[in-house]
Amino acid sequence: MAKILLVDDDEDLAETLADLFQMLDHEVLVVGAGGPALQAMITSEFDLILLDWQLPDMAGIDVCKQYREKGGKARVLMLTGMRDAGSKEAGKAAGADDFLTKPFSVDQLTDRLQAMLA
Amino acid sequence: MGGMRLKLNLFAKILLLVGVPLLFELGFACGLFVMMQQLDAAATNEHKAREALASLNSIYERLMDSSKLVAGVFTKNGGASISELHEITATIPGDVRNLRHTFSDDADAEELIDKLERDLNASLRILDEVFSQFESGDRLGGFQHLRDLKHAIPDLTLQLNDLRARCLKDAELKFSQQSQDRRNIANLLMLAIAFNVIGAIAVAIYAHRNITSRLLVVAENTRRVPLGQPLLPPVGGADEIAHLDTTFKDMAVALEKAEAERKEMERMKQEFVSMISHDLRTPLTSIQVFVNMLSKGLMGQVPEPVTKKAQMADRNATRLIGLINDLLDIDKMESGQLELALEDTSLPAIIERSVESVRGFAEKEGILVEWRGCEPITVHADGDRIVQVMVNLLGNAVKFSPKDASVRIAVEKQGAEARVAVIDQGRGVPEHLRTAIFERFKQVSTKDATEKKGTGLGLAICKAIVEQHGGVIGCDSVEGQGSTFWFKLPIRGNDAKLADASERAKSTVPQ
Repeated sequence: MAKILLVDDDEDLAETLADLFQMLDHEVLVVGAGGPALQAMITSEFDLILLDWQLPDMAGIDVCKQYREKGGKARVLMLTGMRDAGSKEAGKAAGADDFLTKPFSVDQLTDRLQAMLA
Repeated sequence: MGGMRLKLNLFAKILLLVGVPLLFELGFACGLFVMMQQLDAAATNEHKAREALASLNSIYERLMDSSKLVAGVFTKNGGASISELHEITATIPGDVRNLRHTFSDDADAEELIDKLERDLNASLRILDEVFSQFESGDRLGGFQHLRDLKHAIPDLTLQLNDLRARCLKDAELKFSQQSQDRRNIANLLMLAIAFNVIGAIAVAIYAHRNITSRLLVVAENTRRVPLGQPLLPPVGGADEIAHLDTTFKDMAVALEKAEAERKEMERMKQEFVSMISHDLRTPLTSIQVFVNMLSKGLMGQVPEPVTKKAQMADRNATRLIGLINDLLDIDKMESGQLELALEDTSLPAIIERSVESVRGFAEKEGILVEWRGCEPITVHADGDRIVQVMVNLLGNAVKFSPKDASVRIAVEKQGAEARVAVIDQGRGVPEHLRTAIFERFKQVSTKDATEKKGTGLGLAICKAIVEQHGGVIGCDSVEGQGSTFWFKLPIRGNDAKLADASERAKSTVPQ
C-alpha cells in the first residue's frame, strides 16, 4: 500500500492507470497539469510520483526540478514518449529517479513500481 | 576598358584578335611596296643622270678631237681626211638624243639641249666646210671658216659645262633621295617590329582579360558550388562566356533551391516522426495497460472467451508497439540521430535483464534459455540499447528453435573486446544470407514475416546499435543444426584494466 501521485493530461490513460493502482491496493491521486501537481505535492506527502514528460502547462522535468528544489523527497518515475539518450540525461539532471518509455505493459510498470517502492 | 568595353560575342572577339594584326600587316606590306617602288625610281633616275653625264663627256671629247683634227690639218698640212672627221662626229647625234631622253621631263633643260643641238650642228657644218675647202685646196677659205669655229667652240664648251652641272646636281639629288628612301624603309621596318611586339602583348592581354580570366571565374564558380561557397560576381560582357556564367549561376540557384526544399522535406519528416512517436504512444499505453489487466484477470472475473480474446488483443498490441518502435528506431538510425547514453555498465547485468525480458515468451514457446553467468565484464555502453539487441537476438533464437530445445548464451573476453553469443538449435541460416539478414526487411524465408510475426527490421537495428558502439555483429551457422548470432563490444582501455584488476580480486564468480 503506497501513496501515488499520477500526473498525466491524457484522461483515458490516467483513468486506466488509476484503476490498475487501485487494483494493486495503492492510494492514487490523479492531476492533469504541472501547476496542480506542484500544489498537490505541497499539501500532501507521496511515496511515488509518476510524471508525464509533456504536460499542458509545463514540461514534466520542470515540475520535477521545482519539486526537488522545494525539498521533495518522493521517488519520481518519468513517463516519456521518447527513447533518446539526451532526454534521459536531462531527466536525471532534473532529479528524476527512473524512466518508463510509453507504451509500456502492466508487467513493466509493476516491475518498476516494485523496484522503486522497495 | 570597363564601361568602354564593346559588347562583342566571343566569335567577334576572336575575329578581332586575328583581323586587327592581319590588317596592320597588310598595310605595312603596302607601305613597304610603295617605298621600294620609290627607291627603284630614284635609282633609275640617278642612273639616267649618270648616262647623260657620260653623253655630255662624249660630246665634249668628240668636239675636242675634231678641233684637234682640224688644227692638225693646218699644221701638218694634210694627213687627215673628211671621212676621219665623220668617224669622230658620228656618235654626237646619238649622245644628243640620249640627253634629250634624260631631260624629257625638264622644260628648261630641253631648251638648253635644243640650243646645244643647233650650235653643235652649226659647228659640225663649219668643220665639214673647212675640210672640204682644204681638200679642194682653198686654204684661205678654210681658214676664214676656222675663225668662226674659234668663237663657236668655247660657247659650246660653256653650254656643255652648264648641262653637266645640271646633270651632276640631278644625280646628287636622286642619290640623296635614295638614301632618304632607304632610311625610311629601315624606319618603317623598326616601327613594324615595335608595333608587332606591342601588338602581340596587347593581344595577349586582351585575350587574358576578355577570355582566359573570365573563363577562370566560371571554373572557380564550378569549384565553389559543390562546396556551398558564395559565387564570384558576374563576369560581365555580352559574349558566350557571360552567357555561360549566367546560365551556370541560374543552375546553382536552382540547385540551392532544390537543396533547401530537400532540407524542408527532411524537417517536415522529422516533425511527423516525432509527432507520431509522441501522439501514438499515450493512446497505445492506455490500450496495452487495459488489455494487460483484462487478460491477467485484474479487471475481475470475466468469461473464458473474453479472456482468450483479451490475450489475443494483448499479443497484437505488443506486436504493434514493437513494429512502431522498430520503425522509429530505423528512421533515427537512417538519419544518424541514434544517440547512446554511454556509461560503464556491467555486461552480465545487461544479459540478466535481457533474459528476464524474454523469459515469459520463451516459457510459452517451451524453450529453455540457458545463462550460467560469466566473469564480471564492464563495458562502456548504453545498457538499454544492448538489452534491445539481446532481446532481439534471443527472441529470434526462441522463435526459430524447435520445441523443447534450448537457447544458450555464451560471453567471453577476447582481448579488448567482449563477445556475446546467442546459440540456438534452429534451422540455421544459409551461407549466402549470413550478411544479408542484417539488412532491412531481409529474412531467411518469405514466410517468416507472416508465420513468425517479424518485421524484418530487428537485425538491422541490432547491427546499427552495435556498430554505433564501435562493435561488430555477425552470424555463424551450420544449416539444419542451428545458428550462433554474436556481437563484440569494445571494452575501453582503462576500464578493461580496472575490470581485470577487480576480476583477480574476486576469486569466485557469482552465478
